[in-house]
Amino acid sequence: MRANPILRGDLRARLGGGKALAGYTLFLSLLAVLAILSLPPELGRMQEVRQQGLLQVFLIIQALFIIYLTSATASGEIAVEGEKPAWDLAASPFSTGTIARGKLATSAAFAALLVLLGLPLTAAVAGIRGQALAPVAGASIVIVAAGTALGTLGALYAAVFESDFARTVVHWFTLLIVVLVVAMAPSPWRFVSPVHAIPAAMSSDFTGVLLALAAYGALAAAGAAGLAARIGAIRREAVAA
Amino acid sequence: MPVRIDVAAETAFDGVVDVTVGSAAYRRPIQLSSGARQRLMLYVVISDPRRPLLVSLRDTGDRPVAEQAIPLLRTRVAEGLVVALTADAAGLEFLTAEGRGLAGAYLREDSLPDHWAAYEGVNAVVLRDLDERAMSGGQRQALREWVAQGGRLLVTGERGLRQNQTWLADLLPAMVSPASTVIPSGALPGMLFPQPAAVLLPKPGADVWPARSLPVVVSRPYGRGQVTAWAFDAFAPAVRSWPGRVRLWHQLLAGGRIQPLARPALSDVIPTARTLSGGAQVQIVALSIFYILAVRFVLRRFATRRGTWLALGAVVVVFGILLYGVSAAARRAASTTVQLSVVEATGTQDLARVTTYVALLHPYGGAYVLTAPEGALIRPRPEAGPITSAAANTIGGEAAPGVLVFEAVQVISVPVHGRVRAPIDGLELKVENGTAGPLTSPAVFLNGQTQNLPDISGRLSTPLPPGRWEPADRNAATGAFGHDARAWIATRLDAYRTPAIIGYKTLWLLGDLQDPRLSVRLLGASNGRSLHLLLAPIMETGGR
Repeated sequence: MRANPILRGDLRARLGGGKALAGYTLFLSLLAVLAILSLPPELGRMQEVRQQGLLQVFLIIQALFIIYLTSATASGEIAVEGEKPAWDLAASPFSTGTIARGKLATSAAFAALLVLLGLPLTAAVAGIRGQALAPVAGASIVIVAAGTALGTLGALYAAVFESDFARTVVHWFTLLIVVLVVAMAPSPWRFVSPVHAIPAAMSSDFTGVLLALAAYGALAAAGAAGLAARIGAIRREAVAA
Repeated sequence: MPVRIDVAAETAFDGVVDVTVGSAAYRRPIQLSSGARQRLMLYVVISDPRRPLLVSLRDTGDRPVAEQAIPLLRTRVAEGLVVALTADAAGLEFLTAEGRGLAGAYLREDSLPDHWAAYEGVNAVVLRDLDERAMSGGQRQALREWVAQGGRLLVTGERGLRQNQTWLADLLPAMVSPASTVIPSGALPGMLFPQPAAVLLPKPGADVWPARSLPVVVSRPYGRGQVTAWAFDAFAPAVRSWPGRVRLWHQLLAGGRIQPLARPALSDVIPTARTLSGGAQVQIVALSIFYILAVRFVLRRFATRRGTWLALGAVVVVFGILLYGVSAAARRAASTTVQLSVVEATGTQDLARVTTYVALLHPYGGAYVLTAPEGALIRPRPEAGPITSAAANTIGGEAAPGVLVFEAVQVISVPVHGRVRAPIDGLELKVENGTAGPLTSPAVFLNGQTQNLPDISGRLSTPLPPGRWEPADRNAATGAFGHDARAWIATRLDAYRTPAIIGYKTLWLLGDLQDPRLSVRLLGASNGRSLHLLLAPIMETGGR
């Protein structure tokens, strides 16, 4: 089975290059600082809620980093050397489906890569808090799903908005809605926000997790379908011109 | 509460005795050969007397071999006990009838405890028909140690007093003449019949009643407790119906049980938090930095080659295991104890009661075993779940993550003596420290004021000038362990009274004591933080 060529090209660009390397270093350094800050100043007062709370906060902040990085790199807000935006790919010989699936897979792989890279630091926080790693696994699945959904939407925005300003505004608006506005919505809608989906995953609240995964899946599918349609439209416009 | 369990085995038995009290369970291993009997004494905390005490004998497979539920009858629950060692189980009925929460109990020598802690719920012990030969050395020592730290002992009856028992002579408030006498009828108001009586020769400092004729009631402090002798038999039939006896009993029991100054609330000043060790923090920081560098290295070298994901995965797995292991180990190593001992000198025979509050900081939870010094009794405060106690000074169990507080009590010999004289221009203090180590950061307290002293190794003789007294610091919530413990004690000194200690006249010496006999150890952990405070009353001599 051959890997999607868009995914291959994007990952090659995102794994190599000085800017990407600096990005990973910054991401891991921020997580390391967070992990060190979450080392307990005191080990005596051990209310379990507080113990679990700090790991949750760490994972939620990590999720926000990852969601931003996947969507910002896909939308072009953070430019990655050698990665072709969706707009440019319209002129490529690949089918719209291949491009859309490739961008979706790129977002998923990039989110998974960031989660993977963050795991040792998460393990340090879990270890010092006396937490098992199983809840971290559940939270990681939610983070990857959220990153995939927002990354795919970012790729769609890259194809829809020519203006950097408009793209950035819509991108931040989307982040604001998914992370904050939905978090304030009544249950069960609030589980769509990673702020609630991650605690649900950590406490094995399967209803909340399934709802979040379904919502992220729908967003990713909608984003990919929209991207395919937009590339098709760009091609038609180019032919017509 | 002490629970005595007699176990008899027809065949060889190896297992445990379980005592379940509410949600707490106490477990003591037991091994018996065929036909053997064994007596166990467990000290349990009963928080709800409505629930029965469940005693079960279990074999090594944890299968019950014998079980018994012992209801704690409401009628048998009392706030305090008066225990009488007497052949006739009669004479204390009026205690229950008075409705003051006191009850009487009649024991024989074989039922007397051999650890003073078993007397903790007892307001007074009455010795009447005492067979010295039937008592063990441990039972005598337990009684003496209990009285020294605040117990009230009544020795009554002409016959018993005249036995002149050697071990009792030191405790008694009077010498007893070999001759006996008779208290004529009417000599005691309301007494209709003459009573045989011992001739008491009061020791110095004893209170005597009546003051101007043959002493009938003599009492004298013994340490922080009080020993009283009634020349006549308190349980003689004529005395049991004598109305005047009730006033004498009330005098004996006045003020309730005398408690040590160190009370469970003192455990609030023990820090129940500990910072992660600096070494562990450095390790985690260093590993995090190495991890970032390793990721950079892999991405720089292998990003454009095949197997990037494998290399990254390997780095993640290796550093993940390392970081999780180091942080979890640092957390496990954080299990420790913080303990605060208050060594309260009784003022007699160098005996001192030690109350140690131990906070077990158990951030990871799991099994623990705490061992108090030999002769000490350790118990949880409050219930700490199922407990295994192989001996009175050992306690263990499985605990959830958090902090558990235990109390260990013991009586030890602490040769620290002091006296204070009051010449015209202030006080003169002399202290003699016969312990192996110095008494550090000592201070004296009087009427809410304090003066710091230099460390005391050996002897110290110093004036206490009137101008150097300062108000004692009473803020016990600063978070500084040593300071808060001292402030907690200082706050309670003025109101602390025992028969021998009168607040406004008693100077208190408080200092840090170094004594390995006081340490409660947590199995598998290094010694945690500990503070041992000596508190000794120093009586004034020469008037003031």
